[in-house]
Amino acid sequence: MKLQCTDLVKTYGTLHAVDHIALTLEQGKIYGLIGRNGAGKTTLLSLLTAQNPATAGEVTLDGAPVWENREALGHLCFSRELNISPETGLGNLKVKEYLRIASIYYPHWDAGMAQELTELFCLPVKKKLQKLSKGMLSMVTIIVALASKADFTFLDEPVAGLDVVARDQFYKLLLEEYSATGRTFVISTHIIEEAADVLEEVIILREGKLLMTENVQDLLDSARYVSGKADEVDAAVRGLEVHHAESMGRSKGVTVLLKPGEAVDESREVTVQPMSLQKIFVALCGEEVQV
Amino acid sequence: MKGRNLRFWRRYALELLAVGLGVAFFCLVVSALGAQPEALPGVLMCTPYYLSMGCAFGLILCCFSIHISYLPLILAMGSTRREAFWGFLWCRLLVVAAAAVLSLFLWLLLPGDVARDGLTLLPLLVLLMLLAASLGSLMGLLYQRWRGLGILVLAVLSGVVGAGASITVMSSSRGAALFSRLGPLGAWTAVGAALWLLLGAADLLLTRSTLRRREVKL
Amino acid sequence: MKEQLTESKSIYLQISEMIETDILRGILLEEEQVPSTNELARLYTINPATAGKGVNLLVEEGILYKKRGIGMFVAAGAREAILKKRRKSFEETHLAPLLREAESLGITREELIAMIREK
Repeated sequence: MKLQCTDLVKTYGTLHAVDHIALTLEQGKIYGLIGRNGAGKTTLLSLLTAQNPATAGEVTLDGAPVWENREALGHLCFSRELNISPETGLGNLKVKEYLRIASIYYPHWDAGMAQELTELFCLPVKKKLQKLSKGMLSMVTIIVALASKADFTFLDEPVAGLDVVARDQFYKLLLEEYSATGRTFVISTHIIEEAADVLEEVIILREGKLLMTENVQDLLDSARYVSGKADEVDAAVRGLEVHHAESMGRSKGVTVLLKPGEAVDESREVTVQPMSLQKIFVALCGEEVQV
Repeated sequence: MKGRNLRFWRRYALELLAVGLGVAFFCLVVSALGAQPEALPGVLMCTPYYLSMGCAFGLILCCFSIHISYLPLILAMGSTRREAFWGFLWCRLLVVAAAAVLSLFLWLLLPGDVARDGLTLLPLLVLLMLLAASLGSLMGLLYQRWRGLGILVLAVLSGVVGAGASITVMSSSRGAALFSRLGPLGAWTAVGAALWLLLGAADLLLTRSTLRRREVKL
Repeated sequence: MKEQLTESKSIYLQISEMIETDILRGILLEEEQVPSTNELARLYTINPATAGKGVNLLVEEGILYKKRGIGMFVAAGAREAILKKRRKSFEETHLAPLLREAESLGITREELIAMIREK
């Protein structure tokens, strides 16, 4: 089963929230969706799950368009961040009501799992959504995502509002579910380093465009931070793909993305270090720093 | 999936009906408390009026709020816009039909002038409820675009219906008599039907088109 | 196998090295079963595919082998193979950086040998 989009565009007036994105999501992988605020992550997820109409382009599941397609939508779940404000009118809904409605619309809903998780998180099911803390709202979205048993499950900032221990719990639950069922998960997050170990592939968005999709381990293998005296560094990385040069006085540090077969010239007097996913992301999506 | 969708709307319809019944019960109790024991059957026979008013009131409020609460919610959970549209319509019809059937039964079972008059008024009551639903929905759509105006119109409308309800409660058994003084029933029914067709059609068209373009923001 | 993962090296490499170290230390014996990728994933809260990559690396090097339907096992002679591999890479991973550092500090070869003798 493959979820694909070709040349997907979403514009709001002159703003290209999603700018010609082509993506293929395969079954049985955990994807991370990372990008700065406003890069288009939530918009992309909304488009992929037919929650918002696209301005152009199409999203298909095994070739069939997802838009207004009940059959296809039954395989998808987008559990988004719940922002309960007085305007949305959902604040008065009780947690168990919310879960009940979820159980109606997700064809593969696992009530037992929802119950288990509710108890595990000590979630007060009789409380209204507007009375819940941010952390508890996150837990509600996590429960819906996991219990939906959808083939392609999308989570938008699932750990926002959760403390460290709860976040760790989430990753463990995610992996357990993934190992047991092989469902595809796409998780958008700002807490990149924590999620990095759990992700198989990372999708990086920048300003509405797709920057890259890459296997995390491969990306980590190919990225190096080269630092030292400015001219030594430049010589060491000649001909290589360089990003995010940082200068301070006579020293310089650059991020290098090596293609297969390439290597940094280590005969030069430079320090070559591996990089974390978070640092790679900042190098690719941040701005140049001159100190 | 169709079955699932209907499950949701059926439950919502039952909740709405419960509201109507609740209002009817309340009005019944209020009227009964102020009436003489011999007049009690007469009071009972006004239940369908109370029920219709209650349902109309409930329909206005619920059809109004549904645009900002349940519709985006079920879209977020994977309902198609088509399902949401038809489900919404089905739900309203279910409520109105249930109220009409209940009223019909009551008036058929109970003897008397009030019941007979009531039966002739039944089509008008049905139209009233359908109209209330369409109006509520239109208000909801309006509210989405222009918040202040939507609230204002809703308040006015609720006031009107509320007034109508209280008039009904107070002049209960004379309701039919009141109406017949205002003109031929047939004419009123025709006007009501025309109004409903117009507003109903406007509501359905607008609901459908806004649903298609709707962005889900929870 | 209860070491912690560090940030300085690819996780899958750390996994394969940890399994190797366990084999050297006798925690995992030859012909014994190795934890499955799911178990490793659960143990370290990492993606099973990543754990699998580390395991497959060792399979490619002949240190582990797969018994279909059962899991991964330590190959006969794995200990010897690991020792050989690590001795070979000792030069690159430990010796070369040592020499480079010594050179940048201006320590001569003789001084270096003297230092080693004294240890």
